[in-house]
Amino acid sequence: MRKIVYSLALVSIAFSSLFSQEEDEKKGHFSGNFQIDAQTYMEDTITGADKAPEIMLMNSYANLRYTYGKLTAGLRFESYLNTLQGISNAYDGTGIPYKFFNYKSDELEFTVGNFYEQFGSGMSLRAYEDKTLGIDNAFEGVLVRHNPHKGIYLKGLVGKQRLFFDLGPGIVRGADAEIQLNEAFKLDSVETQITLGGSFVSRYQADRNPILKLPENVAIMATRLSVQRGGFSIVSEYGYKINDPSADNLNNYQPGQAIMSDISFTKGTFGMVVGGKWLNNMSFRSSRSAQNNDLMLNYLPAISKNHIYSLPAMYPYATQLNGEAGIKAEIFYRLKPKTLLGGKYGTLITLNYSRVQTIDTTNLPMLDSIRPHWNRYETSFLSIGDERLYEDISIDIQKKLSKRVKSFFSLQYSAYNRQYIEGKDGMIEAFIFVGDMTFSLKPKHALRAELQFLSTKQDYGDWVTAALEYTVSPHWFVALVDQYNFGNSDSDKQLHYYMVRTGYTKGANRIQIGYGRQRQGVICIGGVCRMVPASTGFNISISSTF
Amino acid sequence: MKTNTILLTILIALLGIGFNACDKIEGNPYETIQDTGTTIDGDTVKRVLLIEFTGHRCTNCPQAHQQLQILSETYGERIIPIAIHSGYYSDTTTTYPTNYTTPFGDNLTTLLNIDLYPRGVVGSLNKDAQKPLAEWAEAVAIEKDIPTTMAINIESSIENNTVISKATITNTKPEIALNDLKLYAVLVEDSVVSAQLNNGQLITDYVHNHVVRHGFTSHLGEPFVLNSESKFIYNFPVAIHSSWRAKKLSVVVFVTSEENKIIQAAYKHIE
Repeated sequence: MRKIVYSLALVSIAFSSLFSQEEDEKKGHFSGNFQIDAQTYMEDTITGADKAPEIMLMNSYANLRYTYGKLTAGLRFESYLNTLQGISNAYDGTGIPYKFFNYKSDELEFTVGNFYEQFGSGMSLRAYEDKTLGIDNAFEGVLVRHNPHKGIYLKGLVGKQRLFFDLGPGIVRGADAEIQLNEAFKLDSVETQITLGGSFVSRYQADRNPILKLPENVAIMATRLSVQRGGFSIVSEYGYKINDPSADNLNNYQPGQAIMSDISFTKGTFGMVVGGKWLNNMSFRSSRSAQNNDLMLNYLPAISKNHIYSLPAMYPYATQLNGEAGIKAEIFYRLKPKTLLGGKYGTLITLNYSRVQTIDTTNLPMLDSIRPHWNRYETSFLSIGDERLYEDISIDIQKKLSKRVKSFFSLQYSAYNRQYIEGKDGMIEAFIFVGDMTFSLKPKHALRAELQFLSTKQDYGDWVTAALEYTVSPHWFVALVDQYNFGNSDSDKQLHYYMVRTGYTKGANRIQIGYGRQRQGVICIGGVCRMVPASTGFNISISSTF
Repeated sequence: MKTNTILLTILIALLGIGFNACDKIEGNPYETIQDTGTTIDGDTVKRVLLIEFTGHRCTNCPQAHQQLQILSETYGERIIPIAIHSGYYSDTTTTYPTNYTTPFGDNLTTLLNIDLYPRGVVGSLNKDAQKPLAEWAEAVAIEKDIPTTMAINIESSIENNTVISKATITNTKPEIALNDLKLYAVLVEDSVVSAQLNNGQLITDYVHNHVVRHGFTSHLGEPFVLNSESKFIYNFPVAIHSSWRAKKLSVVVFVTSEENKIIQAAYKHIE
């Protein structure tokens, strides 16, 4: 704590003395936020949840930021004592892993210290954090953004990536350029808006491998296009990576390629999005031996739908970075109010479909009895393999039934190739229903009732989830949730995973406490996943923004 | 405008550096080194133990087995691999009915916090010694050059369906003090044929090697001190289980010193 106060004091003094000439921007201000998540872990012989030796585990952080005119400095204090289960315990400890100094004028911005950055869709570079998944691959180094001309945006960076409370071994150099043609060439009156972009990222890591010649400098490049006209738009990005033998691709030397495209169209109450993705060997990290969610340099989102409810999200899909080919389509239509089908308040219907296949590959012959070919296999661009990795089709209906009742219903079919992805259990096929009704009982008082049902013949069989949530706006809520695995083929494992929680919010401060059981499972955000072990215990979460 | 030009130049220069920052490896990348000789490090030959954590349902583990073969070809008897089947990927099912797990392996897995497969442990029995496959070769190359004064001699035979083994540990340079010594001994079996998942494909007749079948000591080792002759002798018998094939059994002994560093290892095929 002393370190934080000391650092901020230094920053304040530096700002005051160096930039006091900026009369109109003299008033600096602090801002920040704070979050603590703690949980007790009790042994639960029924669910198999383990007791934590520490009894209680905690993840906590606070962001502090001081802005003075064009200058901003900040830091984040983090404390994992010890790390909550499901997130790597390499975080165990306390420190200030994120600190930065930023200057921003109309044309120029630079940051020294730690920063997050993304080029295009993230195909070549994306540094970001997601506390829920335990991901933080921030850079430590220098970032420059430059806007030399209206509509032209340039970025350059050099740095190393964060690895828990340390830095990864690779040095990353990257540059990105984007030109918005309409802005750059003063074509504001032209309805068609076109943006072009390109990025280049290179990683240096020394080769100390005695049995393989490894490339020390590995580069990825990507080019992107966005065209928009009225309600119609196309967004597309293509990426290419040179030889990058790594732990992810089992020392495969062949280059990687990826293409992602989305076409969307909206008119009135109708809208649709269709998209496709093809990739081969596109994992890119700042260490060739990194695995899990460590030191990821690029980001390739899953093409499948992001599910919000717990049972539809039970078998989530994450992008297979070594190769996949996928398509998606979503159509939504809002039936107008006061029509036969739309009812008094109108109805929103959304249809979604996604499917992901392997890519078509032909294994190359071994060099001898133990050495695989350095390129492993051959494939051709946009080829599609025979194996289905994931499929998901759903229809959602959102309808306000009366002045006080809102409803949401969803039907879904999912197929998840656990055999290919996790090496067990074959293909899991599930049919899922979700019903969610919200009743406004009286001013500021609402009751939300949720019922979910999942039917599958594989894995743990059928599940049902029921939830009741009572909210007194804007301060209080209390919720009861029970997830029941009534279809488990082992009658001893037909368990209830119950949870009770309540929370209080006042202004920017929020506290939530709960008690219950958490089933073992996988959570995914944006196609990046982590395993969550079974747990039983109390949890508390406090957050504040200032 | 001058500032703009300078910045633009810097960015273009960075981009130029970047475009040159690619190393394209043409053709066969395998290095053709051989380091199987009996180079003397200190007073005895250093042998590197590589503890492989694996499982028959681990789809990438056969890649690790190949890597071990390459390392064995490169370093000969200077590398001693042992394979611990443990964790989720070693659970038995109707497709994978053979149980290769042992209490020794399970406990060591927990102790070293192994949660990703395949994993290799080289150099010490500490959590931070676990390496992904991509780092095995580098770790072995570094470890083999760390000198040792510890010599391990194993004698092993089979009598009345029992493996009888004796390990003699000697500090060849008594003037160099060795503290906090612990001995570990395991029985391994080679050429065990059963199912293995390999790159998404089920191989029903996969050949498993270096499989740890039994721990003569616990996963925490057997603490010992050297006698006045700088020696320690350890005897360890075990009855041969009906599922083991005597001709394929070997004994591996290794010794750790301060901070759980593995200072020497030895291997003996049972005759």
